[in-house]
Amino acid sequence: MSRHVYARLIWAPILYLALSLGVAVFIFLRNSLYTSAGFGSIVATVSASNFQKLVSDSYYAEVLGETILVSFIVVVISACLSLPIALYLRHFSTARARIYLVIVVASSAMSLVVRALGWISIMNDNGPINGLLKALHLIETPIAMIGTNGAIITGLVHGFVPVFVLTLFPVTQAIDRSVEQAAEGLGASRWQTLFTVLIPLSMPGLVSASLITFAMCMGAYTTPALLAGGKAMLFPILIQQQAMVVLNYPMAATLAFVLTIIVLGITWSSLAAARYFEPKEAR
Amino acid sequence: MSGYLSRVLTAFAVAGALFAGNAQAQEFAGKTLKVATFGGSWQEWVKANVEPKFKAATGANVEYISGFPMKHLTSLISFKGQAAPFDVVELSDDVTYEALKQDLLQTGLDMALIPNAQYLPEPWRNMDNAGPAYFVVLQGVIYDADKFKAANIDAPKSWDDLANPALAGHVALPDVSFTYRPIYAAIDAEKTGDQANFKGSLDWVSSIKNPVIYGDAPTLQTRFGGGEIWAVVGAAGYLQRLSAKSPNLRFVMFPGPGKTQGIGALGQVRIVKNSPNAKLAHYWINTFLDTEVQVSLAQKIGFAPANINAAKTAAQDPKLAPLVMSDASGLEKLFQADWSKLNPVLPDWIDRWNRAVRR
Repeated sequence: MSRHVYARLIWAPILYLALSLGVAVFIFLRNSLYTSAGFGSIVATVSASNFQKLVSDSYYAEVLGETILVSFIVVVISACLSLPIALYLRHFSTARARIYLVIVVASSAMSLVVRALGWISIMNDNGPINGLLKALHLIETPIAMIGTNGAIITGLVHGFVPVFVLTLFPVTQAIDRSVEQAAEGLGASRWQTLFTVLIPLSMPGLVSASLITFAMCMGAYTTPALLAGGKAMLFPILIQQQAMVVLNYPMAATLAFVLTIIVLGITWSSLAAARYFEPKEAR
Repeated sequence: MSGYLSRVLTAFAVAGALFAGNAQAQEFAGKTLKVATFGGSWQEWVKANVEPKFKAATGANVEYISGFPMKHLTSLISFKGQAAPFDVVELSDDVTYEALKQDLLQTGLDMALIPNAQYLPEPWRNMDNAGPAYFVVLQGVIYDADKFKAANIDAPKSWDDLANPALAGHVALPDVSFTYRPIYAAIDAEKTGDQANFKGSLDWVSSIKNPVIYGDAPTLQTRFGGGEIWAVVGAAGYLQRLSAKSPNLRFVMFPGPGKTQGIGALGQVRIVKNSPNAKLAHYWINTFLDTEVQVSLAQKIGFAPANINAAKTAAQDPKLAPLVMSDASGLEKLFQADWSKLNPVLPDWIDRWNRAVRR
């Protein structure tokens, strides 16, 4: 097919994505300007009261900051765990690498709830982690892990490493083995080859995978809700409370709108930063 | 002669019942009743115990829509003024209050089609003219008697006993956004005289050392299975669910505000406004109140039957006796939340809970 045909075909998915995002953002914005009259009733008079509440109460900024921090840590850990996997898979034939890839992805095929409940079993006071630490005489009383951001990060990393690897895999596969061999032939150590050749060449995949993982983390609800153990708070949990417990749809829309804008803003500025630091010859 | 007459009358009665059943089966044949239910293991119980009797009586089919009561309320609000998304809905009493307030439920039921309602305490037969309650969730503390004994802790006799430092990290409390707000309302009423102010119960929550907070049954079961929880503040029904892990569980309720002897929340099954199957829905409700069904409710789920005959039967089992109220006077002594006061302050409660507990 010619490039001209692709250009025509691409309008359909772009239109679909733009409409779905645009319509959602528009609905969030419109509802965020209304006020709640309690339990699902909406007063359709335009007002900025929900945004005023968000701005005037530092609690919301704290929760948003915590959500961004948790998502950022998940991205960093996922990158550190995924990059070695993606680079290692380069050493196998495509067919064999795909088999290993399926094994990596299989761990994410499990239901989110089952996965989170599994982590609860592992991290509870009498679970294997506390059991091991006690057996090694490193602790006397169990460490309370559930209900901490650490537990949430652990659960999210488990869920997102396969996504990260999948996104990174095509980029690392495309790195020519001869580039690596040339670097080593010119006297670069394995670590030098990794940091000066392989990681820079993997950067487009790392940026894409990081942004996808970050966006998904910012909106993740099930895993944080279960592993928060009723004690930690992230933005999606706040949204769920407003939408499904209090039925304050305008406030839920306001929070969702703010979250969407923040994610879009961080994504856009990350892409801009990546483009800025990209070598000129690669642009 | 009287024996002969009795047999003839019985034969007539059986024939009449069969004829009536057959007539209903003809009237409702091919129809499907859409039931919005709590889902999960509860739905399995409904399918196994309520559906067969309902089908036998009406010949109609049943389709289930699973979800929490609040989710069902959301659907009803979304479909207001349109065709009902389901015919019957299972609700907790806080959500029933809101649904009635927003005119989402049918009122003026034909109680002649729900004859089993006669076995309920009078106030529960036709609440707000919208139908009967169908079970009572007794709320209190489920505790592991073996673990309490091993730690040399006396059985709890009041809410404050759970603040014992020896129970640090071993007491599970329901998240305020979960279904057990009547517990916090009762504690508020007892400690401050006002069930809606939330200060009394928040102070009490902060007196519990490192509590486990649960917002759903599977998480509670998983953490209880891990052995870290010795006492659960919640519904009596958990006794059934959790006993597989700890055979010596006990359920206690504490004297509450006024002369109340415990806390009770009512499960309610209601007909949705504009349901095209409203008459069929009456039969569903009647089947739910059937004595045999209600006994099974206590045995399998651990909820107290609203049907007094069923409660009396269940109470004969020593294991079930603490979970049911077998006389109407006992039921009337339960603290029941005033949703006209509690529902308007729910956003405030959740906000204060988030800042105090979800730090």
